[in-house]
Amino acid sequence: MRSPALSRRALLTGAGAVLAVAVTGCAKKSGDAGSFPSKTLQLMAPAKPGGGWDQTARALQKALTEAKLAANGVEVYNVEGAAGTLGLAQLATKNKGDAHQLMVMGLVMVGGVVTNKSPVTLDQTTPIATLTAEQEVIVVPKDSPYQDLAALMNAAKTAPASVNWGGGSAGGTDQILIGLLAKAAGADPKAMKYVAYSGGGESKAALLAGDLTAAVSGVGEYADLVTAGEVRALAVSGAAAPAKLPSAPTIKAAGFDVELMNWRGLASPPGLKDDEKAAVVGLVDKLHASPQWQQTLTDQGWEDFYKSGEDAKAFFTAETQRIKAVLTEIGLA
Amino acid sequence: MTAETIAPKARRTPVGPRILGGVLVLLGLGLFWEAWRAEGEVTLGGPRLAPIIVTGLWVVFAVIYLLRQIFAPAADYPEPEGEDEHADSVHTPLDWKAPAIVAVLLAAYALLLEPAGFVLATGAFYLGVTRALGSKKIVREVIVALVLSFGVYLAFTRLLEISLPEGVLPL
Amino acid sequence: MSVWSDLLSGFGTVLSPENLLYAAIGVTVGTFVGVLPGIGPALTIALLLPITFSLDSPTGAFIMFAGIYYGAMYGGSTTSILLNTPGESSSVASAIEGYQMARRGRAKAALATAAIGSFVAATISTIGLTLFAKPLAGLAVQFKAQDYFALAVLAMMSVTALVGRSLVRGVLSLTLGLFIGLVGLDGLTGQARFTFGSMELFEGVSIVIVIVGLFAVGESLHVAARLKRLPETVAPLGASGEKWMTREDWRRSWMPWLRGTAVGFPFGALPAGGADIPTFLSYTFEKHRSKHKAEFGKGAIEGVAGPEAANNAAFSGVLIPLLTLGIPTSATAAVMLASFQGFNIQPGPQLFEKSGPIVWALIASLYIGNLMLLVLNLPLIKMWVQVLKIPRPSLYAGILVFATIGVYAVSGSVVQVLIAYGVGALGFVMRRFDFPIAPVILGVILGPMMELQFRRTLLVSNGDLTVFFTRPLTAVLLGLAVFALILPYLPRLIARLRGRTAQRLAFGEDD
Repeated sequence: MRSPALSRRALLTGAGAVLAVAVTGCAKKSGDAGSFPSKTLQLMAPAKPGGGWDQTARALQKALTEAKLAANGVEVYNVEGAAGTLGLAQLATKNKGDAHQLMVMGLVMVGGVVTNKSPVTLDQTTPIATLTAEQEVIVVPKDSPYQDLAALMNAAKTAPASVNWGGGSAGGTDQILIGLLAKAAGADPKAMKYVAYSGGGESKAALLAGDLTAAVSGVGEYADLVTAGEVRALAVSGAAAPAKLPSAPTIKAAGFDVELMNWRGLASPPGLKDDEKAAVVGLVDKLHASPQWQQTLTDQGWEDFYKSGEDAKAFFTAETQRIKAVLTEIGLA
Repeated sequence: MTAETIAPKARRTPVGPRILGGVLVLLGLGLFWEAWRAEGEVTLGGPRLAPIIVTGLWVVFAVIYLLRQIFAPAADYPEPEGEDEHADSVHTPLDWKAPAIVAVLLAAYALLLEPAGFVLATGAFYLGVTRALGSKKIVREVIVALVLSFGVYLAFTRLLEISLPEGVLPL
Repeated sequence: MSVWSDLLSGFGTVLSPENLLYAAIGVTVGTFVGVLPGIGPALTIALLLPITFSLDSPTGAFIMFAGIYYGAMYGGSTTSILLNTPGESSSVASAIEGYQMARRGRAKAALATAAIGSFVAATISTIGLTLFAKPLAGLAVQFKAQDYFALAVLAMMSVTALVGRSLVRGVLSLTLGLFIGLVGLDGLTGQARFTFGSMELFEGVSIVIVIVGLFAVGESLHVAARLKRLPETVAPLGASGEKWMTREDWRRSWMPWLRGTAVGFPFGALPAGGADIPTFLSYTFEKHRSKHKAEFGKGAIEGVAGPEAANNAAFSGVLIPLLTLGIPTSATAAVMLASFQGFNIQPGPQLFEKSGPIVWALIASLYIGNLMLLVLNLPLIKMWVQVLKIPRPSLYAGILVFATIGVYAVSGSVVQVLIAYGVGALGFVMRRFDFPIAPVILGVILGPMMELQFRRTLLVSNGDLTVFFTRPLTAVLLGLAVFALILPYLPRLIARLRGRTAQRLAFGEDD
């Protein structure tokens, strides 16, 4: 950890240098050969600055640097577009065989590959790890007649037109969860009336204004409103209640066999040699074990969701199959 | 060069707006066709209605524009009164050479950005554009090009942590 | 009153020499990064956020953050005014008159009215935020999908003045904007529209790319085409000893500042409000009201004072849904939300109870950042106008370089850069044939809002159209929209009803 005084001085110099557009510091540290990473790690956030993947990428950058796991530094760059599938295409084609390239990805990309009919799929990458995950929560307004998930799903099954579901973009995690729920409840996933919004904020406003019967989003989005009693959480999508909503029942406990985590992970380009892949996985294993990364998880309120190497590969494949199936039933694939 | 030699032969109706009108109508029809043949039913609440309305509106107003250029060109573009030096209108001859060069330079800049790297591409682009825009002070522009491309590269990559393509230079 | 004591203790936390230094750094860095074309406030904040994270106390970070924000806003306005290259949709309106003022040697007055107007608006609206955050939060969640649709229609009808000299050309510009807004995956069903098989277009053409293309690139090409007819310098500076604003400027500016604030603040407080629509509304309003109508389009100071005030006032409004409900309503607010979370602060109904002191420190920071902006930037006006002395070739080559970096840094894609250049070529053609630019921006902003909210309404109501008329709020908004549409024609209609021969009513004529 840097001392506050030092970082403040660094900040002042930094600011001064922006002003002067100083031409300094172009010398590059040479890496020690043999050990990985032997040059600067390039970390792609396949979304615009400020979004979830970007935050993950920058947190990784910070933790890798502070844990002294990347002697030659880590660079984050953004490739925006099409639920991350543009970044995926770039990784699979342009960066083939480059072990120093990594891409942040996650469940949203799995869905994006299906709904966008992306020519490049996750099979064409080298899966490295899953890192974090957030549970989804299903909420209703505080004066809603639905007291539990079973009642809501019963209405959705018998009179689907009477339930307005709301959440993020079409084919995203929120709609996937509704599809999975509908299937588990014996309702027609295609008949679910889903109103898509461009962000959690917009659907939140619509729920509070009374446009929606129920909304689905990440736990972090609604935790505060639930605690304040403005909305009621009917269920969360993980295996156990998350720290932010300790009293919420899981979907399984509410009687439906559905579990869905909005996870984020890392993938490498295709064409890595076995020892290179092992080196990347080893680096991420070390990062995961580092106190710096654990501190990041605590600071950001992210749940630890770690699988690496072969586990990650198997998990990517299983998720792809499950998501593809449900999106097909909703009619989006 | 061209601007001086082909001085406007007094009071001829400029042909530019008619060509533009024709292009707008054709483009509008093409886009309308694209909207029309998309998949799915056209319903009030569906995704297909808005494209048809917008491209339809485009075609209608493009046709009106074209007709006005043919039958009443002066209504849209009256003859300029007085000698406003800076004023640009369809009546002044288009000096297409400089913008065309700049456009080509832009395309080259974008395409070279990744393979050649930010510093080289930017330096060359800056020199090219200043030249195309009539700068005669080569030495000064070379210095500015160097400072600009290196300075911006370092400021962005080192201070703002935005990565710009490195390219062939070992930075 | 407890609000005041809370605020006072907020000031207590914030006022220290160290924090004032942070505010000064924030304002300066924000201004310098914000002046780069294509890099608007949202991106500036996103870029500079890591710097604030390196501070040890959240208070210091917030105050620097407020400084960066106001600096970036002001920096964006500076380039809009001096060079006609706005970096965000909310500074497009001030570019219209501001650039004309600069061309006529009144750059200093335009920058001064922008700076002082921003200060006035930010001060009033921050007081508004202090007092009315809680009651206004309730208002924000009264709006249903049909109300947003009606609001978008009202906004569209109210800003017809932007259409310019010719109705036909104005509507064609608007249509182009509406079309650009349609490109990409449909927000409700995910169906691809006008993507022509390219995945690069799936997320649509971002408004930043449209603005950078139309203004920075389009303007540069337009300048290239007129090199031989343009005077040596970009614009005259005005006499060096001249005051920022004359008595006349003050007299003409203070009402637009107040009116801009009155439009911007409540609009910002609506979810899906943001700062762009109120700036256009303010511009139109000032144009309608002004005693100097003939000056509009040639550099009327009201047309800078109003939108700039609206822009800044909207920001305090945007903070209301952000702080009380955790709902970000603009790109900048979304970035701010991310930064709050970085400090473990979760905006929402419990924010004031859980993290009260820090929120009041934030609000106090806004006052200070705002004051710091005025103190630092009024003297800097002299320096900024020197930009106009840069020889034209170097200036426009530089603008093109920064426009390119701006687009490339956000999208990481050469294709997006090429799209921006393509839009720039359009901007060139539009300038050449005298098509107004502002309606394009309007179409890109309002088109998707109208379409999506209309369809959401129908989805929610199961296809029942009567909801547009049975809900009083919606009906009132739509009624106002109809009124706004016929208002400019009202005098002539009345004249006609009275039996007098109407003047020319030919299609496409001026009014």
